[in-house]
Amino acid sequence: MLTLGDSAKIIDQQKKKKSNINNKIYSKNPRKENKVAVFRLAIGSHSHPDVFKIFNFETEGSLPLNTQIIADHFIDSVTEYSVKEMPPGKFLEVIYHNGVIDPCQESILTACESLGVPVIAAKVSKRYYSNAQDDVYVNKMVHITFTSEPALETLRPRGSRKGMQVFDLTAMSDNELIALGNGTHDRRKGCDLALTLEDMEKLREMQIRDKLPCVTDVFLETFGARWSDHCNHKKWRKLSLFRILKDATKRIRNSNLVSAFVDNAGVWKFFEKFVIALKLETHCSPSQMEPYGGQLTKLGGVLRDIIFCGLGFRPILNIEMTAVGEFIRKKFPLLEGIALSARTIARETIRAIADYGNPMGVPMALARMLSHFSFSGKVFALGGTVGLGREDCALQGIPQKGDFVLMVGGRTGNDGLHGATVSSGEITEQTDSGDSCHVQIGNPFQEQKMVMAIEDLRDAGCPRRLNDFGAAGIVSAIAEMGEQAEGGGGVLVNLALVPLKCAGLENWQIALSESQERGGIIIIREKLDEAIEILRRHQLEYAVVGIVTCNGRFQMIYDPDATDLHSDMPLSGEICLDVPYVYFDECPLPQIEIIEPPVRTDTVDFPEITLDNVEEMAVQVTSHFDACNQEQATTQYDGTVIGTNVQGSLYGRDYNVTSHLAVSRPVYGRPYAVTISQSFSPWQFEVNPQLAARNAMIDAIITQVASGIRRTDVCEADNFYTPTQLDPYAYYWLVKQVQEIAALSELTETPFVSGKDSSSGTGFGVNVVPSVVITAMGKISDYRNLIMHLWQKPCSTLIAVGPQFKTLSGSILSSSLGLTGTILESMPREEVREYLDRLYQLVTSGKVLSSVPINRGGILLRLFEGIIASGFGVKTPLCQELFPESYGAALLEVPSSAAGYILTNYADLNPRIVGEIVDYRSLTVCGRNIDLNLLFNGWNTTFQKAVA
Amino acid sequence: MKKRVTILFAPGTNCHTETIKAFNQADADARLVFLDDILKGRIAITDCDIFFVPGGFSFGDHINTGTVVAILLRDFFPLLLEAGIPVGGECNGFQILMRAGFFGHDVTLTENVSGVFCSRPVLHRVIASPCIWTAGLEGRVFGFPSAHHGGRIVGNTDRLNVVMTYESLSPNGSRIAAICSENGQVFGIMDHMTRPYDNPDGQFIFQNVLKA
Repeated sequence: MLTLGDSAKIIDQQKKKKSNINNKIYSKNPRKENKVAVFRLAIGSHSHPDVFKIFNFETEGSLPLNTQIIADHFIDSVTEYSVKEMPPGKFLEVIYHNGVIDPCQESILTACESLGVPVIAAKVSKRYYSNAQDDVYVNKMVHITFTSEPALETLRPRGSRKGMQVFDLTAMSDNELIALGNGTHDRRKGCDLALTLEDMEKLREMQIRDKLPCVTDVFLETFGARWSDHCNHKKWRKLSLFRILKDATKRIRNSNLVSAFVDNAGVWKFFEKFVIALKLETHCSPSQMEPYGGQLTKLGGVLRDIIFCGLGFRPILNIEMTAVGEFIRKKFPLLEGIALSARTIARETIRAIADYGNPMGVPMALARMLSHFSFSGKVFALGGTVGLGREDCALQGIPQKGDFVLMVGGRTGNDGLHGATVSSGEITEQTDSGDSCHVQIGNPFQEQKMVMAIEDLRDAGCPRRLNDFGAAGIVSAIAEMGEQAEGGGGVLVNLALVPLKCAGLENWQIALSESQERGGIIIIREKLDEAIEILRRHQLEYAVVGIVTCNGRFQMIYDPDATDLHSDMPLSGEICLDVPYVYFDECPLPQIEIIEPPVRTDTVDFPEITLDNVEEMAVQVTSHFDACNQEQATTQYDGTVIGTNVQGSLYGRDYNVTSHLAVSRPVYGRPYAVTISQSFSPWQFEVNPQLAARNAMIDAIITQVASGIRRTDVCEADNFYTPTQLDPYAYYWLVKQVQEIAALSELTETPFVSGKDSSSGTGFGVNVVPSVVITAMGKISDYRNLIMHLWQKPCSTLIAVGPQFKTLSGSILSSSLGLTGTILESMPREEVREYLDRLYQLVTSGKVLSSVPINRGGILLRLFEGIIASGFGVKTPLCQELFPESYGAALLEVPSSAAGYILTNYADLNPRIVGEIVDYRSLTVCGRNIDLNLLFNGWNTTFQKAVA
Repeated sequence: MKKRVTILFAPGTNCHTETIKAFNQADADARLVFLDDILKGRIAITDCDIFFVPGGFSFGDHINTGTVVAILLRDFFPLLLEAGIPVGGECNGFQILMRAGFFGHDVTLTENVSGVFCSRPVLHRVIASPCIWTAGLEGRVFGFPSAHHGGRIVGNTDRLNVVMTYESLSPNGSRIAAICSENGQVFGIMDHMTRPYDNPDGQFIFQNVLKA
């Protein structure tokens, strides 16, 4: 077997060797190699006279292309026209640069082939004249622009491969090691591995241990990724936080649990042979730097997690939550012009979620934007997906010696690099402008093709194991699969067999590139032909890139000649990496000091709310960004595709009120329903991160139980977003939060099945509030038994049950008033379980007509939403009590005849009359008629103004 | 004997499952047919009683909505007309049929007036037309959701056989919600009769064409 040392020696020889695989898809020098020509077809639009779409076609040979036949089929003759000569005047033309293959190319080539036009590459550019240039979106990482007529020689990627770099770590000083680890070393400038001196010393020790003269850049990048906080969760491991949550889940022994924390998603038993999977992901760093691309790939990434969970799941619903910097107060005016504005991030988020989610054909079930000034430096971008799978295919298999490793989907490019290391660090102006090539180019068309293909592979019994191409690409996706192989793991990957979309990719780039449109599959050896036939049928590109070796090592080579893969093959070509798996476990853990914050003794005096100011205060609530009508965003997301949703993001007669519970019945012909709720209020976390975590968790569960879901049919996912060490108390709160939700999980027997931590919540020096979003997933055998939000009939009585808080701290109103407060109330932990069971008894007693949790915006917002959704009105004897946010409480509509019974027989639920529903649209508080138009106008216009 | 319904599947189609379930709910024998199988001659496009093109983003909506499938099937679609097979298209399926010229070349589907995707419940009124899909349902108001970005019918719309108009706020700015070809054989609608798959309003239409 060759060693890394041998590898270094033969690199020069390999450089001379011509690749006959990857080079097929790009041209080293098109003019010399082969005669090619680029032809253009410009199309104008009657509706946008200053914007032109230009199809650029590359052909072999220099004969003019007959573009007429293409024009006849490509142009919509009613709204478009062919442009023979472009108009004069200043213009801006935008096109993907040569290193990037246009996502449209595949479709254009397919159409051209059908028309008998020989095109070998295509790109679409857009040319803007006059004012149309003003708002043009240009991503310099992938686009080039022209202001004069472009002279395009080729549309294909050009360039040639660079060889690997090698480094003798034993000859380096500490300063050189530090520089190599943080991307400031002369030989690897800009390649920040986020490795500390301690990490680098450990790598040097490995080099000495293995008697290697040097290590390769692939070696360094591999450990940079594997030891990143993103992949390795070093801070969480150091604090034993995973253990706390996992142990709680284990101790609960909930019989619905299929798998937790071992796969891309947590898996929960559904009904008959079905299981459901839950996963949520943050994508904060990329979404702050380039919100459109970041949010696009956030959704693509979490969908990919579900598709590649177990032996294949079908995504059945999406969840979207983005918290942007606050619009109301400009707490950090110095960030203006440096960090992207909340307005830009919000707008680009909407565009991205629509552009990616809609083509994927997965309904958006819950969507909400929130705000807090602490997200001004780094947005909180969270997305989730639920999948439906088969119980007999819910768990991954154990790879066997000789199984094949396939990559399927999108090709590998120079996008999606350093996702693991960058997301583990703080955004600075340097990372923002320099090392930002980790933003990927989203292409939902590719990922959507995988959904059904993976299901077909699963049903044909082809895969042994699946993995998505998350951060760190092959280094995570394939290495992790190989690690699970029989006999202590072992996989060999030939990087030369990886299909590329960019010319001149170095070995480390091929190994590290992430993509939401790419997946890794270990195919059972005997099933390879059948698998290939399925992939071809779905027109999904694939490549066999590796083999399971079961030799305990993770090995990567670059050898274009080694195409016949077998498990005992010797290493050949450029040996990029050859390490035992156990080395990955030697990651040094950081020193973390837990500092307890001082007890807050300051107090805040909230205004008394009386009949004189109740209307004004109510407007403050309904007009708040977190509480307002966001249908402008939500209706841009397809909420009904696949035809199984019962209640999605919006409800009510005008379809504009945000729902708290998404309900889907994903098994066609069956009434089984999956229910999703989510809770997060950043203003609460500003006051007390630990109690806010408790409130969020109780709220997420209550939303389920108050609708008729049994407590033990609920599981959760946690998504933490914690500041870096710049906040001295960050880890104190993190530990407290994890302990809190783990304890509550155990008490309520609702296990956490999935979670994700991001400890990089600091941007431009601004720390996010220590945050955790709790998402709960439940199930019920018949969706018709659910108690939904919508008020049913006039004369019903509204009753609140559960905790009744007094303070306004952490509420929407406190935020509007600029007085967030210092003391947060919360339901005592030990009371929660009994309360949940009694509430379940009540809502399933047949006496409850509708139900909604009292959370963000308090009773006031629930009453207002109830009026908007139903068209009815309400009379309430409450005033001051309308505004505190009693997380854990629920507002129930009951027939007036049952109210007395409930007050007497469910006294332990702390029931109190909130009001009476009337048959006309009105809100009467203690006899005073509130101007609903005022409340409505604020509610209805805030979002539009904020994102316009 | 149940009528056999072909549900076309092209790369990017994403409404095929709900469409199959909706037809089968109406007592059809619906099956998924891959575009590639038609192009390669493995399955005849006319081997069915009804041909339906579901929604989605076929070929990523690249070039134009529905254009690539319209190009690929340009020699196959006329066979459906010759055979007298009822043809329907919903959302992207409608866009494909429009690009293929089933409704003439002087009308088209273009971007919603809002410029953005619109997903919301919508009401549709069936009006008198030669459409075999809605024959006998005239005057009925049906509710099913919109979910599209480019559903506004423009061009020489005066000559169109309008099958449905919007009874509630139009999601795209056009008054017209559905149209049919001159003889009523081909039906196109932007909104989703298949959502939910057992939507009683959508079932009226599917049961109707299955009886035709």
